[in-house]
Order: sequence, then structure tokens, then C-alpha cells
Amino acid sequence: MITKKDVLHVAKLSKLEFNEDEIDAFVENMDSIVGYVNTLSQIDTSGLEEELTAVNLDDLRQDEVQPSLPQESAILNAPKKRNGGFSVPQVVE
Amino acid sequence: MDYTKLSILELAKLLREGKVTSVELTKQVLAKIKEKEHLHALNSVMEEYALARASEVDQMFSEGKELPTLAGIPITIKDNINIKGFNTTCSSKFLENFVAPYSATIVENLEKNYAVIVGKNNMDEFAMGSSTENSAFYPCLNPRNEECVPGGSSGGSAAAVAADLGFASVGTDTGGSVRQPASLCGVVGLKPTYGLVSRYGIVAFASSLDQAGPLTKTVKDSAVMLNALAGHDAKEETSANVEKVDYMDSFTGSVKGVKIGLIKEFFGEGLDEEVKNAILDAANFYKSKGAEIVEISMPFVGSALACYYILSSAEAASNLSRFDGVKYGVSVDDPKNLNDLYLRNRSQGFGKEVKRRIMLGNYVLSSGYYDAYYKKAKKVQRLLVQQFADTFSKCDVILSPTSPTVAFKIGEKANDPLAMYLSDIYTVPVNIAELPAISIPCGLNKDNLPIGMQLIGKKFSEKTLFNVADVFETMKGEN
Repeated sequence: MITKKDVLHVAKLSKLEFNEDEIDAFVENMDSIVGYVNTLSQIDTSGLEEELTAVNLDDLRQDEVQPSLPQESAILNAPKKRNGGFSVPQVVE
Repeated sequence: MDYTKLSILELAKLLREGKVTSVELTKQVLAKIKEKEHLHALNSVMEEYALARASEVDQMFSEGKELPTLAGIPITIKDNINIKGFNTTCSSKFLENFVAPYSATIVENLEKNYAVIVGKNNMDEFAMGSSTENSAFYPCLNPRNEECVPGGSSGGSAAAVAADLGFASVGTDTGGSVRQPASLCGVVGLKPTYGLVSRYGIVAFASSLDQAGPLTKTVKDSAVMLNALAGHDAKEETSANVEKVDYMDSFTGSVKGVKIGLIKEFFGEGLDEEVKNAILDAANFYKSKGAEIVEISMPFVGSALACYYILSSAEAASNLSRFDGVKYGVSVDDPKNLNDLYLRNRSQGFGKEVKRRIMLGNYVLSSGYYDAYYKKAKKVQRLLVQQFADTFSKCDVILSPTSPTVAFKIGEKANDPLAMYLSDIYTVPVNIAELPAISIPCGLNKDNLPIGMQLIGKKFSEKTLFNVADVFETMKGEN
């Protein structure tokens, strides 16, 4: 059962903010989706390890310096830039 | 003459005989794109770039150079794949003005094959959706019936190929996003084995499941495209280092002795009767051509969808955490502080479904729930991988529906996320087990909407899939 408190907590973790209506909709939506995915709890997986197929440790590349994006390309899309770097609001008061 | 309805193989011949030029083809495709603008199959058109490339290819042909099959063929690509100097929007407001600083490896591969990329396809925002209604710009329409969705998330790619706006497209498939729209638009869609096609330069959704693949008019054209796309990429850690094969060698014209499996659980509740009959007809066709039909049960296959939504959302939440509006993307004016900047940029930049997946992903990964959801799903994934291995000890390929229904009406499932997720029920198990699968058209329903069938193979068995699919495509009409 998903509560409003759960939604607010996950929103904080997700760095997202919602208005009251959106929060109510999320409580309902997430409750039905989580209820559905929770059907997995009925499957016996005792003795099974987690699947790690996507990880391939046999074929790692050499740790060698390769050319990378030039600085001006890397900051090309930055909404705010200063002195060739990304600009953000003051972090330390 | 209108060349836009021809296949890549037919055009390759005409180009080499000097009967048509790449510039002519490109101009015809560009004109058709303009004529069919209301479908919203494309987010952007690269007219100047395409015509320049086409005329380069024509020059080489006139000098008598031997060029790859794809040379001079106008195609489109999904708008989550980078082409240096052009927009990659992912159909998201967040990336509306993003200009790619480098090209995806597959774009470089297509360029090495002298393909002419003419535009970028509309999609569900960040590839999350099954109808292309989640595009932040405009929903895409199905060219077979404009009141219907084209499927998704590569809906723009499928619609473009179906409406003759380019002879092929490249989409991405995390849980069915190439195959399901191919099915709903009546074209061929291939999801290659995980790792066969590089993802470098493609915006990530769920990295352990994402795979790019071609959408084409014919099965043989799909093989032409895969020849260009596949290959090991040192820039991508999960790229498979397998020997390069020629997929045009796949075609024997026979399915004699091939064991085709029908999964009992795939024919249960929720499957449209006409779709079911079309798949059973296809099974009978194969039987008549000498294939052996094997009925197999996979008791846990129904759990793949739940497993998929946990894993894909968890990975999406993690992948999309980089979208903060600092390095690229939209950014609000006058943020109070850094946290306020993050909160407002993300909340204004992402659409509803993307937020829903991020929320679900962070929920299943959060403290206290990780074991119950994420870890559990990874264990169920192992179970499914084992069950596919057992199944492939009894058959060579699995035949199934691609989607439980034909194309549905725009708006029909828009407010019921769970109903929308269920349209991927036959496609997600393939991604969960890293397998290849192809969707090809196998008939029309009573309203003339296309029905798609899916063939699933063992890892790296694309050649078998191409052959079995091609036999149906080329010989079904003879029956």
C-alpha cells in the first residue's frame, strides 16, 4: 500500500517536486503498479543468485589515455557557462 | 516513377544500373516527408546534409566505385541517437535544444556504409512508452489508420517506414520498443542480441536491457541493415566481441526440420482472438513447409513483465539522475540554490511518464524495499534465463504474437499506465534474457490493421531468425 508519505519521500530522493493533485495521482498510480510488480513475491527464488548477465568482466579494455571531447564541445550545451566551465548557483554559504 | 515503395535491395540494384540516383531518391523521400508531416513521424529533417551526402554517393557510383549495399539509401533514425552537429531531443522538453557534440558509433557505421540519414524520428519521451503519445512535442499517428497509435517507443521509426518516409529506420528496444511498433504499423522490426549493436552515443534508458535495431519493409532489408549496424565497439563495455558474420548468408529458402516452439502461456487471457488465429495460421504454414511444431510450457514467463518494470525503472532512475540542467538541457532562471535548481529543472523538463518511471525506480531501490523488489527481480531474471535455456533445448525458435492486440486508438490507454504496460507482455521476456527477436507482419484483422508475429531465437542466432522470417514473408502468399 503506497501512501502520500511514501510518494513525498521518493520525490525527494528523485529530486522532483509535485503539486497536490499530482501527488494524489501518484499515490493511486504507484499503488497499482507496485501492487502488480509485487506479484513476484509469490515466486520461489530460494537458492538462486541474482542474474548478472549484462556484466562482462572477461573483455575489459586497456586503461590507456585516449583522446576525449574537446572542452568547448563538452560545454557546448551548458545553459550557463563561465570561463570555459559549467556555472551553478553558489553551493557554500 | 515513385521509388519510395521499393525495398533497399531493389533500389541497390537500380542505383548500380544507373536507373536512379541517390539524389533523386533523397528528393522523393524529402517530398514525401513534407506531404506526410501531419503524421509527426519525424522531429527533425536534415535536408541539406542528406542531399550533400547523396550527391557524394552519386559521384562515387558514376566513377564506378564498388559500394556497400546501403550506399545512397535514404533512411531515418530515432531521435535518441546522436549525429554530431544535429539535435538529439529524445522527444523531451529537457533536450529540446540539445546539439550532439559527437556521433553514435552506429551512425559512424551507417556513414561508413554511405547510407543517407534524412531525419530523426519521433518517439515516446526517453523511450518510455508503448504508443508514442508520451512525446513532449506531439503524438505520432499510425499511417495504416490515423486514428490509431503507431505503438512505441520507436513509433516514429515504424510510422516512417510504413509511410515510405525513408527505406529503413533505426530504433531502440528496451522492452519491445522496436518490435511492438513494427507490429502495429505492419513493418519488420529486429531486436538483436544484447551487445551485438553498439549503444555508444545513444541516450540510455535501462542499460542492461537497451539494444538498437533496424525497422525495414522486408526481412532481407533487415539483414542489410544489421550488416551495417553490428560490430564490436571498444567504446562500450557491454559490446559483444563476436566474429563478424554476413547476415545476407542467412537465407536458405527452407525451414525443413526447423523446430518451432509455441509457448503455451503466450496464448492465454488478454490475447486478441484474431491475433491468436493469425499466429496459429503461421504455425500451420511452417508445418506445411516441413518445420516441426513443438508445444512448450514456460510457467514463469508471465512474471517477466513485473520483473521488467522493476529493473528498467530502477536503471532509468539511475541513468536519468544525470539530467540536472547544468551540463545540458533546460535550466530555470534565478534558482534559490543548487537544490532548487535541480528540483525545478527536473520537474519542468520531464514529462509525466518519465517522472513515473523515475519515482517507481527510486522506490524499488530505496532503503527497506531493495531486497523485496530489485533483488527479487534479479533472481526472477535468472529463473527466466534458465527457463529460456531449457526451452531452446527443445526448439530452435519460438513463434509468438508480438503484441496482444492490433493498434489501439489514440487516448485509449493514456490514463491507465498498467494497461499500456501490458502491451509489451510478449516482448519484454526477450530483453530480460538478452535474446534476439524479430517481428514481421503476418496478416490483417477485419479492420485492415496489421498483425505482427514474433520469432525469438537463442543468443546470436539472428541468421536463423532471418531465414525463418524470410520463408514466411516470401512464401506465405503462395499458399
